[in-house]
Order: sequence, then C-alpha cells, then structure tokens
Amino acid sequence: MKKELFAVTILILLSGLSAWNLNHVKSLTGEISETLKLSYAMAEADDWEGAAELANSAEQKWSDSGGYTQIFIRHSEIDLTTDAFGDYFSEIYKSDIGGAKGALKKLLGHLENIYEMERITLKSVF
Amino acid sequence: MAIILLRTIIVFICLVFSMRLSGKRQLSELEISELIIAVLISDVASLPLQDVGIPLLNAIVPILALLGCELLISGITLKNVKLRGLIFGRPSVLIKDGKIDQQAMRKNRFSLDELSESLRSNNVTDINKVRYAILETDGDMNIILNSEAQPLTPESLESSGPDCGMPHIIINDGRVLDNNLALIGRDLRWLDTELKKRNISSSKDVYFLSIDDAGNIYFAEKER
Repeated sequence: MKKELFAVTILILLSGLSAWNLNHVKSLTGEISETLKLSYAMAEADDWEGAAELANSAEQKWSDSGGYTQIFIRHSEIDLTTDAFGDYFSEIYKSDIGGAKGALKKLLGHLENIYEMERITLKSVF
Repeated sequence: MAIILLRTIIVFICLVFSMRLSGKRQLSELEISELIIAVLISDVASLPLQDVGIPLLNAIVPILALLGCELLISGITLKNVKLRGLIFGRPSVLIKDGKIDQQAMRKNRFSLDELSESLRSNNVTDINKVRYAILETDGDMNIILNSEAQPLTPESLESSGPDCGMPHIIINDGRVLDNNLALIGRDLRWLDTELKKRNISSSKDVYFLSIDDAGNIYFAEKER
C-alpha cells in the first residue's frame, strides 16, 4: 500500500508541477508580449526612445527568467527567442517601422510558440 | 563535457532509484507493462545525455511518471485478479495430456517451430510424454511431464505414488478462485471443511491453498 501511495503522490506532484509550469509560462510570455506590443505602439507613434526602453524592459524580463527557462524550456527555443529579440532591437535602433513590425511578429510568434508547446491541446499532444 | 558528465550521473541516480522502487521483478522476466516501461525509461533517459539543449527535466519527469504508473499498476493488479488478467493476460495451456491445443496455439500466435524449440530446450523429445505445456504471461514455457517420464527421485524409487498432475490454486491471498474450485469438482462447503481441519475460520486468513489431481493440498496461512 505504501508504494501505491508513493506512486499516487509522485503523479499528483508531477501534475501539480505541470499545472504551475503552464500557468507560469503563460504569465511570463503574456507579460513580455504585452510589453513588446506597447513598445511597437510607441514606435508607431514615432517615440523610438520610448519603444527602445519598453523593448529593453521586455528583454530584461526574459533574461531574468533565465533560471526558469533553462530548466523548463528547450534551449533551441530559448536561443530562437533571444535572437528574435536581437532582430527587434536592431529595427528599433534603426527606427525602421516596417522592419520593426516584421521583427515583432517573429518575436511574438516565438513567445506564443513557447506557451503553445506547454498547453494541452490535441495539436500539442499529438 | 562537464555538463554531460553531471547529467549522466543525475540520470543514472534517477534510473537506479526508479528501478530499485520497481522491485526485483524488473530484473527478472518481465510482464508486458514492465517491459514497456523498461524500454521507455531507457530510451527517454538517454535523450538529454545526447543533446544538452534538452532540459534534464525532459528525462526526469517521464522517468518519475513511468515509475508512478508502474507502481500503481503492479499494486492494483496484485489486489485485483480480473485486472491482472486483463493487463498481463492469463497462462495458456498449449499441450494437455500429450495433445496440442491448436486453438490455444492460434490464439497465442505460437508456431509449431516455437513449440518444438521450447520442448527441446526443456529436454523433451516426445510430446506424448508431456502432461502440460503452459505458456506463461511473461512468454516463458513451462513443461510438466507425465509421472512415468519424470526424472527419478529417491521417493519414486521406493514407492510409485499416484500421478499428482497439476496443482490448482483455490485460494490466492485470501480470495477464493471459484472457477478453479468448479474445475476440480468441489464447492465452498468442501473448502470450509478443509479450512476447519486446519483451524481456519475464513478463506481471508489463507495466503495460498492449492490442490493437485491426486487430492494433495498445499496450504499456507497468512502471516499476522
């Protein structure tokens, strides 16, 4: 009976950890995406300094989560997202709205992908 | 390189821990679910060792989840005979009294070549001498020979006893197996009588009781 209880406990703990992880990744990617959207809105309004500041803030949030991301997310996905941040910054510093739009779409795509991979859907399971 | 080394040690500790908890059964002949889990665990565990880009959790979580499932299944099937039959299957008698049960052979997709090989590995060359050939749930084949074909023992030299045949399990860990009871042509009243002879009031107090074709009873009371 002890082993069965231990087994059930393990499974419950793993389920709890999965639920927490899903919640955390949703919150993290959601926050960063919102900040980036605000950054782009500022760029659209020609406030490139404001846009860069918000982009930096989003990137800082991403870097600060390094401890979590390195443990829970595939490193290839982390690398792609970090590269996409670089591309977005590049367009912001060049004050290129067209380029910034494209780079933002790519970056938001990666962030959404990270969340989608953890979400339980038919697509992600199969 | 240090990362790979450290990951290998961590995964190794996880594997030893999970195999240790799975018990000695994992090291011997495996049932279906045990085989699946052993194969899965070994495959999954190697992934983060080959690619440092894969988080270590991608190995540890599946190992723990599989361990949990294995412990649960083995625990539940220990207590539930029907579920055990459903998951692990039941032994099949392929030969009885020298006759091959062709339906059982077809049902188990067991070819004659495989049967011959199993008989040879058990030093049996004449099927007529086989009383029972049983294909167990772990794929092993066990042969019980007719009494006249069995190896001599000091006991058999002094007296030729009756052919005991195959033991039929009547009580398994407190549970009466009604099917087996019917198979040997007995009923619960007979069982109660036998238990009373052994100062047992309930079948729940019996760990194991079997009876062979000669009527010899093996009995083991549950330890308190």
